[in-house]
Amino acid sequence: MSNSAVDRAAHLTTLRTAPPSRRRARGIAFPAAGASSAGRGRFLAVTVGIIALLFVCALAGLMVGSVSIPAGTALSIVVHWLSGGWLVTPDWREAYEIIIVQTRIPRVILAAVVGASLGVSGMVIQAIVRNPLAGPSILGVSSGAATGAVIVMRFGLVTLGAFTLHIAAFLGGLAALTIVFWIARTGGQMTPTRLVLAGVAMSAVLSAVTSLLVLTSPDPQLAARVLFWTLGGFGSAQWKLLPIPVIALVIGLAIMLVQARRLNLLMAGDESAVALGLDVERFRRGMFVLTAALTGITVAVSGVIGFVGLIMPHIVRLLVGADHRRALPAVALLGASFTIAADLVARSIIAPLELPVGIVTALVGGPFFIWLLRRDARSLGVVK
Amino acid sequence: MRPTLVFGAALFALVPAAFAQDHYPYTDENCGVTTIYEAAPERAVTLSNNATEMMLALGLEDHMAGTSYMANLQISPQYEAAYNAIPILSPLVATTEQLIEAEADFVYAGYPDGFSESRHTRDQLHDLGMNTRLNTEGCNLGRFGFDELYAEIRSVAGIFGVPERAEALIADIQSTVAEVEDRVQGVDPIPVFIFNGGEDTPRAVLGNTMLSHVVGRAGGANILGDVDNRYGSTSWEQLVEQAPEYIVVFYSGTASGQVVDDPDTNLGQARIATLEANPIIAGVPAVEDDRYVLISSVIGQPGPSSADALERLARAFHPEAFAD
Amino acid sequence: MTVRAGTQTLVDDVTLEVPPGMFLGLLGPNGAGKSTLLRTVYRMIRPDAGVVRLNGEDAWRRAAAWVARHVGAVVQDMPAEFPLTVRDVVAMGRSAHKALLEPDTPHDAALIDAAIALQQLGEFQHRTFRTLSGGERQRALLARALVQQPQILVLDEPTNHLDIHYQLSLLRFVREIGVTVIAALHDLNLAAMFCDRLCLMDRGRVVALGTPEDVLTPARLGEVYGVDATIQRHPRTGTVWVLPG
Repeated sequence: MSNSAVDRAAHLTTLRTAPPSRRRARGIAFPAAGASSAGRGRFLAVTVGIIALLFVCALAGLMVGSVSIPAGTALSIVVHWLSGGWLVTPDWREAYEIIIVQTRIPRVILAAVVGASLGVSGMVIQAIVRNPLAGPSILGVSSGAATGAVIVMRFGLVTLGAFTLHIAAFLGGLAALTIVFWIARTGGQMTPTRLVLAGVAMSAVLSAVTSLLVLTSPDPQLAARVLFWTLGGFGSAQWKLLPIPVIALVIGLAIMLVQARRLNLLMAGDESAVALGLDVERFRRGMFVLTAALTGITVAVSGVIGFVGLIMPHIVRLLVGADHRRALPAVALLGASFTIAADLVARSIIAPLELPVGIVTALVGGPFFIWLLRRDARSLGVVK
Repeated sequence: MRPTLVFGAALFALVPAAFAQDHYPYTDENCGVTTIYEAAPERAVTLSNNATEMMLALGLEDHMAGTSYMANLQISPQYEAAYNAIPILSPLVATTEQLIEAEADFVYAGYPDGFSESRHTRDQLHDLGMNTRLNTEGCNLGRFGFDELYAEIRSVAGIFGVPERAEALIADIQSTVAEVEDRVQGVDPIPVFIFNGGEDTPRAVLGNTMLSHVVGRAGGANILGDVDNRYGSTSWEQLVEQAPEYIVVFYSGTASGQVVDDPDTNLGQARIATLEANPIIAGVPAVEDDRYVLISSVIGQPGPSSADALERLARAFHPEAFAD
Repeated sequence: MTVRAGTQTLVDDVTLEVPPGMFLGLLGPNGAGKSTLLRTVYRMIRPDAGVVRLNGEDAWRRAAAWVARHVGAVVQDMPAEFPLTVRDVVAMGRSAHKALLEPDTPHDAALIDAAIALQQLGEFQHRTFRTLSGGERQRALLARALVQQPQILVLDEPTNHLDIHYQLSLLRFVREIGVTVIAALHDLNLAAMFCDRLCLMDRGRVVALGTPEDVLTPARLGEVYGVDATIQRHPRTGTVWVLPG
């Protein structure tokens, strides 16, 4: 044994200490800081990096569009808008200001909010099903939400209220997730493969249902609207569309951050999580509903945008580790940057045509997913 | 004589002004969207060829800030000069940003894809201070024929406060229609298939379109004209079964959203080649005897050129009726 | 207490009392109900009949976190799907002691450091859990249970994956730290060496309960395991020594 008996005794004594009372001043120097402050330094550096990336992506998103506005003018308009009209005297065409303020800024914000929502939903879904290959689109949540939205449009239920579409998307997503989870769990152990297969099957069925609804519809616009829903896009971004997804993200992320420690426990496995003091079943159910709501609202405003919720959590875990207290804010920021960038590519690569943004995220995310599968297969092969 | 004439001219000059004052506010009901116009729009932008021609046929070029979605198609010759004087915003549907840049106050689409979630909804444009109208054929409300077209013309003219021009245009179209009907009176309608492309499954133009109606008025009968929709997929077997004697080959200026260089050759002729190459329909009378007629969306979509489509189709279906 | 799963009764009317500080070993063939019994202690399974009392309180009337502040468990599932570092895994043990938004305090860090040092995991603490060997993983999970500051430690086959050196040092360690220990063990001799009391189970029932000398008799081993065994005394420690065959 390398530990001296004295060290051992000291460690054992430490393990028996109660937390210092909060009122008492802390007079003792604690040795632990070294290790975790190095982690904190890295976390801060990564966070600053991602914020810078978000800033660059957002700025680029404001510069590019089907009308070319000189970068200087665009920048001046943004500064003018941000400062509430104080900093810069307008010397540009009013149309340019409308383009930037009424279409590009809400578009960039919508892309950011959707990306952040998908990122955090994906991360939480991966934790609750304890499977890093899961994600809102892989598990059929997004298709479920889209089908919910299409049902509302097909049968003209939008008249029931302004939020009908959002609620239908949420319920569709929740239903799909519940069914996928149930299929994967039937007959014993829920393996990653079963879960992904159940999700794929679910998505296939749902897309068939969606097609059926479209083809039997008398509304000629439904097909175009559904195409938009199934591939996603931010073309319809408007200020008045923003409140619901923004509020949903703020509330959702706040709840997740409050529960971050418990989310960590889920990564340890059900048995461990219970042993560590988590009421797993109830907690998982709550997180299920939360992620379905967040994904559903995202789909209602921007359609299905795949892979963001799958790949962003992975990249973030590589950068800042798996602890949700750090990974959740980071994945929100990175998801936002990625989606803004994907939208930028979608609307500039074949301008004046716009690609659905879901195509861009799939082109980036698909290969990444394949790489993950291969890597996972290999590492599992080594272990077993 | 002379003073009377002067008086008459003065009266004539006064009438439109007085009329215009009574005209507004003008209420436009369009597929569930109600818009009240206090004055004629000054910076209209069109989102399709038939919308553009409608505006030009009503002599509204001075009220226009731009056109879009001609995608390399040729505008009808009578509108060419006016068309060339208006900025072309995009070969495709003008984007939201382009509409804002053009400072549009009225946006007119001839097909439903002018307004969509992926580009801009009518609601969204309204929030940006632009009124909108969609040719009611695009709303798929039911059958669409010349009466519905006349209603469309009156609505657009109403928005711009020029109802008398609507009546003149309608009279013009009516005379062509009457002339053609006179010729084809009593002929047996021939079965016609309206082909909208497609290789594995043919896409067809169905009953709720102007084109289907025009085929009927020209002495033909759309074999899928009783289907209550605008467009849809069918099967080659339908052609074999129904044995159309003429095939109307319909095409636009874009394929999969991309602008085609020479739509007439790349889409129109290519679609004929597709039909020729298909062994299943080789025995269909129209294919056997090469009886095709090309209709681009410029005249195939509901608009002032629908009269030209009528004449072209009638001459193709029943050449004997025009043999003089 | 009784636990059923479908028509099967996994634990059949078992009553056990473990006084503070005792090291209780659960023995029995595969499927005897050892793991199930342990799972009721850390509140994974709710007994179909009967209660689990911790310090006199019904565990199922208290929150899961309350139980986790009293019972630490080393279980079989491994947090290997996500790139959690060993330190992350050990730190999870503090969870039950924390309010929702409470940050990790220096006190937590000191506990984690101590547990890591005691399990000789210092050099691995920033490596991801999945890169560890089976034995290292087991020690990390024990460290995690230690920072829970439990009064009772539940160990389900804790010596699996460990070589003989670590088997001995783990059991010696948990004995030494003076908490109540309930462990399911396969190795009869290790059980005899370290446990104060043994509980021999078979098909969900307690067959024998008592000191190793009382429990490990050739007759019982024959009856429960179906083996013919000779019982001797360990020449150095004097504990009961089972020689099969």
